[in-house]
Amino acid sequence: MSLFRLAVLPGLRAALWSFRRAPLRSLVLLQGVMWATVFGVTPPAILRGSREGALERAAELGTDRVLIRETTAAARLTWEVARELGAVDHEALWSVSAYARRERALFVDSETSEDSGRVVVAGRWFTADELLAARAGASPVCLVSEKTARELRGATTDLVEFAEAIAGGIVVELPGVPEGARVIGVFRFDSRATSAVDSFGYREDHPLREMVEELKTYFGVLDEDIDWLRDDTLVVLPAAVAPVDRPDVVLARARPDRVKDVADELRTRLLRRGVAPTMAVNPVVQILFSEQLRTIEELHVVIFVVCLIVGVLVVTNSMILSILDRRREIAIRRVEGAHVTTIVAQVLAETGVQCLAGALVGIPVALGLAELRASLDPSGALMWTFPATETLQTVVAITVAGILGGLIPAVHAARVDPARVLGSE
Amino acid sequence: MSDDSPTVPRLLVPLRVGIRSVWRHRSRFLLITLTLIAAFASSFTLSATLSSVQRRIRGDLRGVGLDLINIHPDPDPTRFFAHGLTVSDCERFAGLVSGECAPANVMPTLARTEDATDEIPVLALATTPAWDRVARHELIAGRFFGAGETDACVVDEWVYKRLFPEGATLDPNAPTLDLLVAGEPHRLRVVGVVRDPFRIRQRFEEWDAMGSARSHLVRFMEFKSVYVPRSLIGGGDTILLAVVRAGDGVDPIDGAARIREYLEERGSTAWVWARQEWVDSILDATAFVDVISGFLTFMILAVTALMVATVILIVIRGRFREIAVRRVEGADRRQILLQVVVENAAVAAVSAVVGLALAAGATRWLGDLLGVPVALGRSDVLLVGVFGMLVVIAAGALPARRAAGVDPVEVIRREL
Repeated sequence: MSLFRLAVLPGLRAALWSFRRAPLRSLVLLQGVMWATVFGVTPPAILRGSREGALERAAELGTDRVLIRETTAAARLTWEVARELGAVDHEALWSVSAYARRERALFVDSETSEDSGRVVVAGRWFTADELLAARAGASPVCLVSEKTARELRGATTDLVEFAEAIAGGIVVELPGVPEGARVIGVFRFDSRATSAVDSFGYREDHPLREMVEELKTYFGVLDEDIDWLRDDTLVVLPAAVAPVDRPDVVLARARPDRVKDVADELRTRLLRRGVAPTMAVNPVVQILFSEQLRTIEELHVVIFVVCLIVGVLVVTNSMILSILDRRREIAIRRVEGAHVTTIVAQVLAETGVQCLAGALVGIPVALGLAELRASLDPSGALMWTFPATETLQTVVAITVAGILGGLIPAVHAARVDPARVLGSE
Repeated sequence: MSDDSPTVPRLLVPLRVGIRSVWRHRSRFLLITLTLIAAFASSFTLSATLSSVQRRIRGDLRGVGLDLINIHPDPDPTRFFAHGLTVSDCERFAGLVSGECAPANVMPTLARTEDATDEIPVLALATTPAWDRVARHELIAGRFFGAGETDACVVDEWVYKRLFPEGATLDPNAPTLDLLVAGEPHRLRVVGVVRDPFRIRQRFEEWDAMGSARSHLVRFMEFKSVYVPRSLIGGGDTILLAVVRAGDGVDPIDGAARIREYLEERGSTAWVWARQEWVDSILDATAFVDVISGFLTFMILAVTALMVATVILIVIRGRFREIAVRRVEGADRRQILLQVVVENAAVAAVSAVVGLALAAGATRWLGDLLGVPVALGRSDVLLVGVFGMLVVIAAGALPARRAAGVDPVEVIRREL
């Protein structure tokens, strides 16, 4: 408490007084410290925000997704091969589902509706038997979207009525299915999975979209139009009744931080089977969790340390001049009875307060720059968050470094001889 | 000897006084010098790093063979089958550009070591010995396979380093690998290794994050291939790839246009592109990134300059009394201004030299870290050095001009 009264409080007062007396000098100091804070806070804000976003909003951003398709004429990627992929023993692999579309029908082999971002709101999803084999003589079963259900039963129909109608038996007419398909459930799309990103996670409405498309073309990247997976006019049927022996696309879901490992594993499996796949994986998430990003993180630490050194030198310069300007004031304080240690403590406290102020100003600037960087990137996976730990570490490092930088000015202040300074007047 | 002595040239007076002044305020000048050294060293390093990385990317792209023309089917599955490329087309392409053409088939597959301890995805590129004459790859070991060598292959450096990290000897005991073709392993002798043109990926390979979505038809440009005799994969008349070297005096871009015209007449949907066009297009498309990094460099230099300028400004303001005393001693305004400029120029020059030495060490370290040789180019030294010196001199001259203009009597009275 006495330290606070003797040093910190006067230090705070002195810092405010210094700002009023020499605003230019204080601004130089503040901006120097501010940039060091920016280098300490912005990169972890983006890295942590993007990593957290990739994990927590995986369904929305598609960061957990591996889209696989076969682009050769070999036609070896069959429903059976897709099922084999689902049986791959990889701790990060969540699910594998395959899809084919023919006119108004979407054929799936997935045992849960969630794999394709659907939620069953009335009735049920397909059973394993229904997915694997068509029953001879029986009508195929299907699910329809709420929109289609309302078209069938009237716009005012609610979910309870849907369920009753399903139990009573509703048949949807489909091209190529003469007996029609019996509706067993109604689905809606999971709102969390709604997003406007392409198969690589790039935002459809971003101003740099055109540049991304151009680069994709130059690098020979095959884009997969997967919008039809979210088409609510399609009737969903089990793969067992599909008129084609292979899916159009296979969708694997995996833990975002291991999605590249999973994609590599699935690719090796497919190549062993003679399938030449192309696989779309969110490019940002691969880099975010890559080993090679550590190189950049190491570089960031070095840049931060350089900024810190420059910041400390600016603080030292500024404070020395401040002390030279205030020799008379220091001499009077000494005459009034202030001890040398109190003067030193005050100078250090003033430096600390000024650095702290600069660091606090730097935090919103750093977060603003993080927001700017994230918004400039066409990928939806680049986000930012407030990195509390790194911010605290940065503020503490800057304040401590600033105080250390204040040691030389403090010694200058301690050497002030009151008799000589006041005597010369 | 006084400052006014006629034996001392007038220009040397500010220099002598400046040196004396620097010595008198040595601790303060030492701090400014340290600040400037840090600023110069970081700016030199930043400028050298950005320009070296850009140079490396451009150099790597040019290493893929700018005088070659690629012909292959449209990767879009809806247009793929209408390519109709055959071996006889390849001969025709060669005639159209008075050069040579190498036909090939491509297939993504797996390559394994003999003992199956390592297995990596590769592109099997089935071609003829003509590929060597057309592509003119730089071989870091061995040779290209010859006619009739059905059990031989050549691998790209990327493949070789992954399959044989211990560095097996190529000749006379060539290592072997098993290449999976239609699910069956085929044992092949590795008789040559092609140098990897993409040196930048040695540290940043994972950054080609969309590589898995690339069409296998263009994967030969990744240089992760195993070159095998045509008889191994699709040895018939149909081909999936042709690489053409235009003859002397034929511009590859014009040559590509001729081949394109020929294929259009035939109703083929195949793609024809000169590698020169491709490299130019990529560099054009990434010009935006260059603009961003240029802007970033400018911003960092501007912020550094601002910081340095204001520190010097503050220091000059702190020396008003000394300047006033010099005025009272008889120095005119021009001499004061010259003294400050000389002081700052000397400090900036010393800082720039030390900063340059530090940057030389930093760039070596960065080069190791990034896997790219980072070198201080003449343009980096000139840009940062001249810009930095000018900033320091200007930053000192402006307040010095003001200080020289202040009434010395007023300043000394206020100081007391």
